[in-house]
Formats: sequence, C-alpha cells, structure tokens
Amino acid sequence: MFRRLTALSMMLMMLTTLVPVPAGAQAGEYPQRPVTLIVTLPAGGPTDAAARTLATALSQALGQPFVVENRPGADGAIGARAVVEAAPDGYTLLFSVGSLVALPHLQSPPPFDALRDLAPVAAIGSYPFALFVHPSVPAANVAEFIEYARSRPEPLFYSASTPGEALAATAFMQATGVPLTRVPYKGSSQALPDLLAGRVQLTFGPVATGLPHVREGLLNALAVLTPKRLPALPDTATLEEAGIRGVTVPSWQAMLAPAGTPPAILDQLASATAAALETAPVRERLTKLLLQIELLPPAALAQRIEADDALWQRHFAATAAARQP
Amino acid sequence: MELIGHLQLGFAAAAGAQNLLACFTGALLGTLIGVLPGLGPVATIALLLPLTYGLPPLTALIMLAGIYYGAQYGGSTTSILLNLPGEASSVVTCRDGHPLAKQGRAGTALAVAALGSFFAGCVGTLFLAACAPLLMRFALDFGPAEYCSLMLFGLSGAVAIASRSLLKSLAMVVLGLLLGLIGTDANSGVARYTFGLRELDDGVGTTVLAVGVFGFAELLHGLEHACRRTPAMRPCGRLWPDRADTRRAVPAVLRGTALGTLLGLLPGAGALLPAFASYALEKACARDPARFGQGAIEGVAGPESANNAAAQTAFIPMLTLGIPSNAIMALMIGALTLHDIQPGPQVIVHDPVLFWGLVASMWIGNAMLLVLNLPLIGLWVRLLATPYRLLYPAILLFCCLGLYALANRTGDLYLAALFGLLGYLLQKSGCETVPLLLGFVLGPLFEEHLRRALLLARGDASVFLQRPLSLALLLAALALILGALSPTARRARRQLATEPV
Repeated sequence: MFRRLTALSMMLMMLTTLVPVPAGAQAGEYPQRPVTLIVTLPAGGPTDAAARTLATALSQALGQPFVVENRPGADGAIGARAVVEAAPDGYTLLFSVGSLVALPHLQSPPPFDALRDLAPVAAIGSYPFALFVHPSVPAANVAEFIEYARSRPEPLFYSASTPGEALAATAFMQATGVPLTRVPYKGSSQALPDLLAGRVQLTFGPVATGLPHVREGLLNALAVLTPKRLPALPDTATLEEAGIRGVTVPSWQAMLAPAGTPPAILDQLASATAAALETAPVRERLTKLLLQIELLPPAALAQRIEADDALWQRHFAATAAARQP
Repeated sequence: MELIGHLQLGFAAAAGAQNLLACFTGALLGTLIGVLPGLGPVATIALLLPLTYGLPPLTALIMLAGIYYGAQYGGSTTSILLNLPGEASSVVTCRDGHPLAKQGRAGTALAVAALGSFFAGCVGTLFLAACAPLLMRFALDFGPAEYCSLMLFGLSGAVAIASRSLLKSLAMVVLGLLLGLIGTDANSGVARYTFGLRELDDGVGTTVLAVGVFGFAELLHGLEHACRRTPAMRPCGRLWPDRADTRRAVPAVLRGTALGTLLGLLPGAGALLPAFASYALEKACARDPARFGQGAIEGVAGPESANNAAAQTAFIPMLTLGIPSNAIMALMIGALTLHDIQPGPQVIVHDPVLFWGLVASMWIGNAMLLVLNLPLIGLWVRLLATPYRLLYPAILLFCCLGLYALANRTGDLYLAALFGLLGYLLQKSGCETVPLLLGFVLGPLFEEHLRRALLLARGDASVFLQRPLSLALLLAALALILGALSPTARRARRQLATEPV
C-alpha cells in the first residue's frame, strides 16, 4: 500500500514539472503560491460566475492559481469578515458586490468598516437593473405608470429581495411622490412567482432575472436604471430620460483586499484585472452574463464606495424616520 | 401526436454517446452521494458546476439532473439499512424502512424503494413532457395564502403521524419551529435568536440539523450497542416483494406518485414535504395505522415514490418559468445562464432540443438507475458487514466533508455535533425526531407566507377562507388533527406505548 502511494506521488511530482511555468513567476515576486478569492455569494449565481471568469484570467496572467472560495452568509458579511481578518499579503482577496457597503449600516454591530477595513483593487462592471411591471398595470412608460399608481385608492405592491432593490424603490418614491408598499422576499426566485401572477405589481429587479419574461410578454420593462439604454432592451428608456434622477442600485462587482496590503501588490492586481478586461474571451463571457463591463481602477472604486456609503446612510436614515410613528 | 414528435426529437438528442455517458455519470454519482450521509446533491453540483462550463449545455444539464434524481434513489439506502438518512428527503423512509431491515427484510424494502422510485420517476417525466405549460398555471395560482395553508396542513400532519405520544410529537414540532426561527427575519431584517453569532444570521442549515439529529445521533446510539450485533446484520432476505407486500405497496406507490407530482410543482415546497405528505396519507389510508413505525412497507413505498416524482416535476417551474423550486434548480439556472440560455417560458419554444432532450434523458436515467440499483442492493447490504470501527469513522468523515462543503464553514460542524447530542438525548427520552425536522423546515415557510399573505390582503385575515384551495387545505388540516385525537388512534398509540421499544 505504502509503496503504491510513493509511486503515485512520484508520478504526480513528475507531472507537475511538466506544467509550463509562465513568465513573471520568478522567486521573490508576487504571487508565489495560490491566491484565494473569497466570493460572498453562493456558487452558481451571476456574481460567482463573474468572479470565476476573473479568477481564470488572473491565474493565466500571474502564473499562480486564483482559487474561488464561496463564503456566503449574512448578506456577504461572513465572507467579507474572513477577508478583513486575513493577513494583508495579497493571498486572500475578496470578490463582492455593491450592497457590501450597505452591511455596516444594516447590521449591528457593524461587521466591518467599508471605508477603512478594505482596500479597493478594481471593479469590473455592474449588473444592470430595470423597473419591471406586471402586464395588468396599464402603462407603456414611466409617466403612465406614475399616473396609474397615483389614481389607485391603495398603493401598488413592489417586491424587494435585496437591500439594493429596496433602495431603488425608496428613491423612486422620493423622486416621484408615488406611494408603494414593500413586500419583502428572501430571494428573487421567491418573488418571481408572485410578480408573474400579478399579486405583486412591480419590482426594481436585475435585468437578467426579468428579461426572459419580458420577451414572453409576462412582464413589461418600463425603464432601465442605468445611465444609458441597454443593448438587451434597446426600446426601454432610462429613468433619466423619463425625468427621474437619482434612482440607482449600487450593483458593481469588484475585487478588494484587506487594508494594509502592499500597494505594489494592489497595483499589480489592478493592472492584471484591467488587462484581463481587454481580452476577448473575458469580455465575451461577461457580456453573456449580461454584465455591463466598466473598469474602475483603485482610486475610482474608492470614490464609488465613499459615494455609495453616503447613499446608503441617507437611505437607512430615511427609512428609519419613516418607521417612527 | 405533437408530443410523440417532441419525444422523438428528445430521444435522438439524449441517446448520443456523450449524453448517454453524461446521464450515466450523473446517475451513478448521484446514487453515491445519495448513499453517503451528509454529502448532498447541492454541494456536489456546486463543486461540479465549473467542470460543466466546457460541456455543451444539454450534456451539462443532463449530468447535473442525473446527480439530482440519482441522489433521491440513493438516499433511501442508508435510511433503510443504518437508520441514517442519506438525504434530508429520505428522513421519512427511516421510520419504516429501518424497522423492516431489523426484521431481516432489508432486501424487499430496498427493492420496493427502487421500483417505486422508478415508476414515480417515469410518471413524473411523462407529466413534465405532456403538460408542463399547463401545469405552470396551477403553480402560479398557488399564492402565499395557499402556501400558508399547505404548511399548516404539513405541521398538523407532523403531529398526527406520532406513533407513541401525541404530546411528545407536538413538543418536537414546536422545538423544530423554534429552531427554524433562528436567523434574519425577511420582513424586518432583524436577526432573531442568533446570540450575536453572525454565522447564524441565515439560520441553521437543514442539512446541518438533519445530519446532526439523524446521522450523528444514530452513530452515538449505535456506539452504545456496538458490542451487540445489530439486527441489520441479518441477511438481507429476499429481494422481490411477496404477494402481501405487493398488494400493500402498489396503491402506496400510486398515491405517492400522484402527490409527489403535484407538490413537486410548487416552488419552495422542497423535497421533504412530498415524502412526508405521502407518509401521512398512507397512514391515514391504512386499515391498521398502528403498523406504521414498526415496518410498514407502504411507509417506504409511498414517500420514496413521492420524493422521486417531485424531483422530476421540480424541473417544470425551472424550465418553463425560470423559477428555481430549490437550491439545486437555482444551480442549474446558473449553469444554463453560463451557456447563454435564460431559463424561462421561451426555452421550450426556442430551444426544443434542450428541453425535450432533458426530458428524454430523465427516462433513460431512471431506467439506468433501476438497473444500477437492484444489483447494488446486495452489495450495500454486504457493506454493513464492515466492522463498525471502520464503518463509523468513514460515515463520520463523509458527513463532515459534506457539511463543510455546504458553505466552507467549520462552525457548521460544531453545530451538527451539538444537534447530534440533542438528537441522542431526544431518542433516549422516547421523542421522535422526524416531527422536529418537519417543524424546522415547514415552520419558517409558514411564517413567511402567513405574513406575506396578510400583507398582500392588506391585513384581511379572511383571505385564507376565501381562496378555495386554501380553504380545502385548512379543512384537511383540521381533519388530520381530529383523526389523531379520535378514540381509535388513541387506543392504537396507547397499545404501542406499552410495548417495548
């Protein structure tokens, strides 16, 4: 038995020497061993897919495997905590989404400080959101929708399964003065049946979830929440075209590192990510996932996080005030 | 006639060498992980998902689907032989399957489970093929009010299946409800009963609880008796059911299949509910309900058929509406999205080869599973001849691997160990743990849908009585409770309580 194992390990060792070592993997340089990329969402979802696409590209570019590890739980706080507490040596990185910045405002005690505990590396883009309504709502555009919603004796129902969706709906109500009632869900898969059956009339949801139903006429897309129209929904106006500003879902997908990671490593990762986003296979795969590619280098991502933090703070202050009798 | 044409298209696609291989690999892998307690299809599919990126979409889907329904077959094996459910959905099978094994009829029980699963799988697939679009209307009409009443029905059933003490059974359901409340409340976002532990924010995982209360507790229980030879060590007996067994099992399979097919359609009902509802139905239909829990073949045939039928029809909401009815379907949607296919109503129309190919592969896969499982029964039973000093650590290892793979958290292992101790103590004090698990699974769903139904009805509680389906379910729940309180049922329980365990 033991002899067989030794033979097996010998063979494995021989195999490893056959693997070509890419340029740039010399001694003393980062990375010298596999890098763990912690994803705060479960395997199989859109964020996981984006993270794995990036991980594959970085493995090729930097000569060490970037291993995706899914650490879902507590809206992402568990994965984020694991990275915040990890050694800031560049071997434990975080891949997360815009709602990460909301967690310190949502959970008490705050699991981490979004501005201080994490060093931004790069954002690769964001998943777009849109306003979807059930066909029983007689409105072809946002103006008609607002008019209809106002004419009803009772507020319409909207489904919200993430803080981001609730944020968009609250901002919409503030911008238009239309009253809406929130129906909370644990995930978009639970919200979808009620939306398709018309028990809930609208949602500010991810385009990837709503698009197949729009194509079948089971839902109508009244507006997209992006600055520009989407190739997937060319006939749907943006909310800004309809004259409504400030309704967004911070849905960027980004890589971050523990605070204190050497700037040289951060720069190396950021430039490797930027280079990966220029390659055709990466662009193609991300586009397939309906991700809107937009590179945010470290400084721009830091600015975005700061702006989002202020946005969430206003949002939660407003909802808390609304709950007071 | 259109159906036949579609099926021809499907079989032509599924019978390709690559797809047949994928189907076989998936089914075999599914059976294996189904047999191993703790290592479930969710973890396996999540691990294998990246490997399927390189495969054509149909092949990837066929393999992942094979793992899923293969696990439903395999899950019953350890339930019957070791009283260790391989899957949460085969918890119910333990109740009568293991007593049967103790009586030396493990072979019959396993064969009935496999044959019942095969029949149910075929019917479920036929349903999927024939009326997927029609059935979707039914699933969509099932709103929060109906779900709420369905869960209430399930909870009453959890109490009613008590074979010994009604009071203990009720206590177990309530304990399950309380455990189910742990975690963040979807309505207010407030964390409940988490003691400040962020790991508990999403609640306790069903697998964590099931592996602890059933798996670990059974190992503890087994260690206590390890010096004695366990009854399961008796020869597995004849494989084919005799005439009396057949007479009992066939109607149970038919009822279980019908129930599983319908409940599988409902997103979020899960795999446990069909199995358990079928068990409750069998007990209600039986002339002598006292046999249940003592080794009634119906108690194996019904639930096993139900969970396999549900496993097939669970694809309907996923393929026709893009709504995942469980975590596995959510992973499959992830796999499809990566191949640029948005699951939704247009899949059948725009991608008929994918849809019908998958349907046909399920038929092929179910047949493969039967061929695979019947000869394996002898092997599984012989596996029990492994000395406990080797078998138990191996089971423990696989349980831990499976638990860790769920979310890469060591905390889950400690929690499962704690539940193992709890399960052991409960078993010692004569409390059944199946109602505990049912309360745990159904309770949070009940709460969620109750609050949502009231919110959507703007606070009008009469909504539960106004909707006919909801009213029917509430009446059925009432009938279950009254039945359990009836003098006949009471006498049967008293009789059992005086018998030695």
